[in-house]
Amino acid sequence: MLIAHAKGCRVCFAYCRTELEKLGWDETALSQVCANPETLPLRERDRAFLQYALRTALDPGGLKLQDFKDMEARGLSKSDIRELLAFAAYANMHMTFTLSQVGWLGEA
Amino acid sequence: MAFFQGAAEHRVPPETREYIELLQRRVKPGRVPEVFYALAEHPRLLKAWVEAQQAFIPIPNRFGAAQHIAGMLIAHARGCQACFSTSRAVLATLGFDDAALDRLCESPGALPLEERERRVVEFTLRIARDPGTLRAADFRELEQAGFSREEILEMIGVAAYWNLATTLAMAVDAGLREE
Repeated sequence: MLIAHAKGCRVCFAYCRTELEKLGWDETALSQVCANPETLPLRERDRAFLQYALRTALDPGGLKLQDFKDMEARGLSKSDIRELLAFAAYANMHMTFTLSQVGWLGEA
Repeated sequence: MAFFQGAAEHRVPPETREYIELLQRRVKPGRVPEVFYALAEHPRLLKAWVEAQQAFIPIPNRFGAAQHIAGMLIAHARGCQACFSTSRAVLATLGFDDAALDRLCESPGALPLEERERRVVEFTLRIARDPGTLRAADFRELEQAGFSREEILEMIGVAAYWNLATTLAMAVDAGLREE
């Protein structure tokens, strides 16, 4: 949801919110998350996942060795981190498709 | 010491080997970038990446060299060394020399290509870099220039693939670097 929000993909954003609502999140809480992701009531490991997935999707070239050490220190294994990087890459692919299609259909 | 280590050639796990071999055939006689070896311990992710590559940018493909030139320029624009070298390796097998490829990177606006190929490269690059600015009129213009809807979808697929590949390659590469 946060990657979609940052990239301006309204279709992906709406889809993610619907999925989160099914998991019990209400509209107000989700709007607060978008406005200020730092305040999320999450475990440290989940917070690290969220922070670095967003960062990887937006600026993969900006990651440094210290960031990987930080992810590990906050509870993510090497395998988790590979999953995180792949997830961010997938999000970028998915949003390229979706944003293009939305433009093509004239729904932007 | 780097955070990730690429598997040595002789230590690539059996369940990953076929994907590394597919990559080797694509870039031959070039070398498969280290980022792929760094995922060798994670067969599901490597498989997903290589299968996406095979599906979206097959060799041969309907746009020929234009598709790989688009990949090289997207990688160049994003600063992804692994994807850049992979694209150049494929273009080298199609007869492009280093000097010609350097000129393409320096001046993509002056692509020495046929009009149709030039449009493929420019539109694919635009989709990859800024898909949110695309409008129905952009697609109508392509259709009026003779591109089928299926061909336009192919261009979207190529751009989307390179956005996946450059994100993953740059991020994994960051974990392969030493301080």
